[in-house]
Amino acid sequence: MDPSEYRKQYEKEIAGAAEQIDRPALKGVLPKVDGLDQGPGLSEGYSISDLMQIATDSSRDVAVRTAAIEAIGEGTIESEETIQSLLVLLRDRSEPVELRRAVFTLLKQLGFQSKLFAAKRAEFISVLRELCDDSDAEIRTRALETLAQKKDNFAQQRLLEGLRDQGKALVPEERALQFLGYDIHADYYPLIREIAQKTGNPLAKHEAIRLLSSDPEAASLLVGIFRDKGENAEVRNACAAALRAVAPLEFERVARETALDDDDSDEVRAASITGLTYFGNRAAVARDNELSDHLESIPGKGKSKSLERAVERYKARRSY
Amino acid sequence: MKASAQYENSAALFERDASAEQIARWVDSVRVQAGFGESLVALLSEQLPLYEGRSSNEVAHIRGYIMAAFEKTGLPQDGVPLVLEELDSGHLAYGVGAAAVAVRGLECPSRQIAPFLVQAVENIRYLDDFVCYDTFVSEAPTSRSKTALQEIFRTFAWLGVHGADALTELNRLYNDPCIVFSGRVRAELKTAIEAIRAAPDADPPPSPVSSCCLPILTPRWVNVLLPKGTKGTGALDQLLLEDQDGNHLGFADFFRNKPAVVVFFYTRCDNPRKCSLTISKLARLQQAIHSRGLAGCVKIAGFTYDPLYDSAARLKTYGRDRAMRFDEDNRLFRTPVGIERLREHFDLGVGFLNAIVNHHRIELYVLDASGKTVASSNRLPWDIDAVLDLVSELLSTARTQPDSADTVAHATPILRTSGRALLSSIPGFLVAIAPKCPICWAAWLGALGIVGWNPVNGLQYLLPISVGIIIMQAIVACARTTGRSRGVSLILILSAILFLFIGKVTGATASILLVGVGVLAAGFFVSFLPRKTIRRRTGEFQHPPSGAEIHLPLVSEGHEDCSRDRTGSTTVSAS
Repeated sequence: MDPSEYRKQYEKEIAGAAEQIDRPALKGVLPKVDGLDQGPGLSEGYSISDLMQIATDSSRDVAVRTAAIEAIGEGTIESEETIQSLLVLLRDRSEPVELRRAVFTLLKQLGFQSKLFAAKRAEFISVLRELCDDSDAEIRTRALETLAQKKDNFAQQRLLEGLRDQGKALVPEERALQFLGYDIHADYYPLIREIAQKTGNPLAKHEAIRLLSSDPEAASLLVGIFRDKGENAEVRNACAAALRAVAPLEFERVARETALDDDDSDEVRAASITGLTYFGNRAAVARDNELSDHLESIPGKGKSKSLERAVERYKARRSY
Repeated sequence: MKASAQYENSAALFERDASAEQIARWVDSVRVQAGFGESLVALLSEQLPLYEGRSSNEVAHIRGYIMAAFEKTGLPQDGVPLVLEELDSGHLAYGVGAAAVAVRGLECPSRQIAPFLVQAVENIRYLDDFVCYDTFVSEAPTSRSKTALQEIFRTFAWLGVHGADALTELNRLYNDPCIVFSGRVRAELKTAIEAIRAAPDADPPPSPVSSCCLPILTPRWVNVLLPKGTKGTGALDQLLLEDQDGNHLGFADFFRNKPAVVVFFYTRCDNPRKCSLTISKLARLQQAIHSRGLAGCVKIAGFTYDPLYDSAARLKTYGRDRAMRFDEDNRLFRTPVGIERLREHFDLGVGFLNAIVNHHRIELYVLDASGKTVASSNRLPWDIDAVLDLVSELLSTARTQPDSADTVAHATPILRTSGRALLSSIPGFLVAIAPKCPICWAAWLGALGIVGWNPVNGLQYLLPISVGIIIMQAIVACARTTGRSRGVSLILILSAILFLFIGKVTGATASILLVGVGVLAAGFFVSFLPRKTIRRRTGEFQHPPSGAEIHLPLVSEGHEDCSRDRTGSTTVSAS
């Protein structure tokens, strides 16, 4: 399946899932408390401790508890114990998944909002590590992503294990690659090169090639994939982008070859010409009469609009 | 850093394919034995094969585990810079916590450690994590372990009275409502404050004293290599360099005729207290050189550890973003080929995961005008003024050694400048002394014997008035000059006064008076010469006897209060 088609399908699934989640408005859901007016937010009378009481009360409806968690985010947490209680909720796998997901979202939010959160960072990281093998895919994925963003070694090792052994994979291959990419100092380049060459997952291949933009030793591999006319255009363009990062001269050479090749894909030729226009050596581009003369012949030959636009931009830039 | 021959074997025990667990098992076996601290130190060199091909996280984990073992084996002198480096510039909780633990392996506490611990708190205040150094496990430590911040504050408590310099800062950390630590960390912090206050000697020693562990505090100098430690650049002379503008040149083309300051960095370094800070400080060094009037006399260069990725364009952007100025004498370089020769020549403290740096130290080298390395600063942040003073010393030394080709190279621009100043002052002098009014004309004619002075009243005051004017002009001349120029100018003027006085009093021949006038004129000319901005600080830099090693002052980047006063020293070898 073409990666762009795959992406569209995935987006549709996400949107559909969101519609199915019943998100009742806060008003009318939280029970009335004696002496307090029920309202849409904390300004209407609920304190953080009230909401925490509701959230931790397992006898209440999940939707009510989740709403209480969401409402906490509107206030200011002034107690380390509140954050600790949230961490306990998140870690507890017997609690409903919807509640735990809401707690996760709140904790991430507190990372920006609350100065108290820094004090609980170590505990938060510890809980996230425990969640790396959580039964809920969303919680598991978010935990790994958060840890990977912090370049956590524990998470990196789990992700690498999953890439080497499908049976131990905690997240889809492309997500594992994306998460590993947060740290260029991780030891994964040989594995990434292998995935880029062999994987049948187009998203994973795309992601692997993107990561190779940090690996100067991958230049020849990237050239090889780029030159493969049977390869998907998006993947080839990703190769061009990665090549430009690790071997700019090599990129200019192969991009030029592709721009001159009338038998190659219009989309790839357009991307190559655009790359030369904006990222190529300006002096070399200005001197390249052979390329310029060849591109002059493209408009009006029934080529794609994207290719013609790329040629126009090239000519305009060259004339500066 | 090289371990002594007795312990070199530890570094040779492990090749690059040794597993981390293997290394950890060896560390476990030696840490219970006394006297193996040196062999642990030998394992911490970044360029060892055992670190090659490992991720940064893995390297940090191994190094941290080794470092924490010093608490049990004792922390030898050679290990102190490594530990202080981690406290000062480490940004991973595991490593910084390990360094704090390692400090407790010193024979006795030292007040020089406190500022480094304060910096360590600052480094990981928002990056705290649970750490465990009892076992090298692949599973992450849990909340049953201590955090890195707790380990740092435990070390403060261990310092006792020697942590008094940090008491103000610790109190601020504890009492400032904007600074929040977890309950367990606050408890450890409180314990540290109480331990410092409760120590037998409430006031720390008024001045640094030599502890049994660390040498005496010294001014903030870079390491100075001795003549036998210097290395010529013969092997590097033909090394091809590419600068930030894409210009190609040989190593010897750039590193000749002027002293040079060389640093190493790479653009993908994710530790803000290493490469980014190094280049930012290099830019500040450029400004300081300019302020001292040394622009054009010194070369500034930065080399990337990562030439495959760090293209010329990347180098330029990186330097420019940190306020570096580029010109003939100020450049950032990559080595398209031959980075290995550079590594070997400077014995660079860097390890690689394939082409990517996995760990490196902060390093700066000072080269003389022939390209020889004469000084280095490794691991701890170098001090801009110290580097500048050393470079000034090199320039001065070159100037006072006329036989040296380097001296001639340095002397030429100075002579040219001074000569121009001298010549430019002559017209002014002539205008000053030339008669411009009837009285002046009469004076000159009288001096030449054409007209007599006899009818002029008040001639008896001529001598004291002349002396007064000379003294006034002497004061003005001295006020205009500084340093050596002032001394020379003053000596000449006073000599001239002496000549004139002797000549007048003894009624000696006119030649004595003319000599006096000539010496007086010379004194005023000297005051016209350009101000010497190279300061020679006598007594602050002491050349050690040949073959010795120098106790290094250790410098750490400043914060308020005790952090700014942070210095330390250790015995370090030339590399």
